[in-house]
Amino acid sequence: MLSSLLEIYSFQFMQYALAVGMLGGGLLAFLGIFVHLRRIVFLGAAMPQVIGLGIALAVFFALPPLGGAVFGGAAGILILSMLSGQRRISNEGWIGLAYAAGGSFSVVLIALSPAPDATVLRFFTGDVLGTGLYDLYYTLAVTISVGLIFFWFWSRFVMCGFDPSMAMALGIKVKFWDALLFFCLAISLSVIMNTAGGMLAFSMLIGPPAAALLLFRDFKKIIITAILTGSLAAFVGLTLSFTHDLPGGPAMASSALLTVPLLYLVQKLIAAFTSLIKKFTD
Amino acid sequence: MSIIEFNSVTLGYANKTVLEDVNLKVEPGELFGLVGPNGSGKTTLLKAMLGQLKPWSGSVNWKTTSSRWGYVPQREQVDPIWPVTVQKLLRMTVRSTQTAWIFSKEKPEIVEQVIEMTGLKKFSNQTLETLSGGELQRVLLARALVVEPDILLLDEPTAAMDLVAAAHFLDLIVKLHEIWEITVVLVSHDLSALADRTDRIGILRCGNLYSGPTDSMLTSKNLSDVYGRSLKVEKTTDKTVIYPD
Repeated sequence: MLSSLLEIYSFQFMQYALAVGMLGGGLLAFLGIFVHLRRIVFLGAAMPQVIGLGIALAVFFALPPLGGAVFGGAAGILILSMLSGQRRISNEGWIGLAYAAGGSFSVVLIALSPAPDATVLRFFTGDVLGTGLYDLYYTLAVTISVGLIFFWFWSRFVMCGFDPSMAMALGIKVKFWDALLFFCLAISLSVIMNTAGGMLAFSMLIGPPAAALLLFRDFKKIIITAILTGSLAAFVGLTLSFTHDLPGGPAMASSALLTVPLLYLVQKLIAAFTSLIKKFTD
Repeated sequence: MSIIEFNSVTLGYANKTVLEDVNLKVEPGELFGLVGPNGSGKTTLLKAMLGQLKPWSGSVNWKTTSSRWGYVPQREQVDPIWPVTVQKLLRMTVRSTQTAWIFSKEKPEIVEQVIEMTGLKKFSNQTLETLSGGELQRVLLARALVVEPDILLLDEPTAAMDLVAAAHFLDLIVKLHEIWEITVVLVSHDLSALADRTDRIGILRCGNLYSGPTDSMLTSKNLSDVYGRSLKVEKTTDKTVIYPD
């Protein structure tokens, strides 16, 4: 088995895809913990659509897609934060509008775009096997930057999410830290989406952290489990895509989502086994 | 010098004025109660005290900008989905007042002292979703105390607590106020509880604030005017009871 794996990953394109998938999977799984705990999963779903619109705009105007992705992510967060708190339409309503607008306008722009279909579609369905060295550099740079920011200011992010009023009373600038969280989220999604597609990005953002939150009630364990599960799902998905001739992005996305029922089952089995042992020993 | 001073302050949201021409001085070391019917602007006034709401006109002055604030919200504002134990939450709160996470200190002795004082020792390793409403409210108080506050602001902390738990909680506040000499601003609907525990009271009515010593403010006439129905104030040797007539 090891020799088969070594053979699969002897190809350079597979090495790049694995590195980007595992880094991106771990990064998004980590950020996804905040997406779940702050109950902003719908925002996580809307962001790839808005970023997709940025990519479509960039393709339409023959500009670099990564620039479009970053622009789409940053502009989306900025506009949504300006509109939040508006009393006549709820925040969910604005996010829903962003989701719908991002999805539909990007398809229209793609239809009008002079770029070849396959090039454009790569950004939406994901072609992780097409990643190159620069994609790896971008993903690595974003992962290190976001990791350092959270390592340095961990308690600020938790305090602002858990109870903003108390955080403000402590003199913490809640709006700034919230903006930084959303910016990290937007940049991370932009880079991963540009490399591996929206479906993979959203699945990594939601699946592995959900599995970790189901298993544990301790932050350290949740973080470690989410990152490991995200990275491992990328590895498993990519390997299966090679051995079974499946599309890389969707295979990795499916692996990320399958971690939820799988880890839930493991948790239930462990609980049943523990109670059985306890019953016999009592 | 007053610890917080409001000078002719007008407060509101969007196009709606909530409070007008508010003049208030909260003195160091006093226990100040704030009452008023629903929607009278109690939380708005607290937000202005915390500096979270800027006045439309007038000025809010604080004794020093470096004063530490402890804020105890209504427990519904806190989401128990967050996977933290009581002790970790308190340690994290201490660290979040410092600059960078990796250079910050947890000050375990303060955390232990506060856990002991608020009667949370047996819950210290439990996560928040396992706690009852009263226990969660005590955790929120403990969290406000671990930052060693100069001023403690409590927004209806005993709302939805049973009678005994509410009395215990308020007695704990009074004890902390006396031992730690913390200035306390306490918002509550429980007029009887405030009558016996506060030095001064502020009553919010029709967008205005009226304040003075508790005895002279909590009279049948004042309260009947504020709440729009007859309220009786009866004093026994050690208790004041306020109830609808």
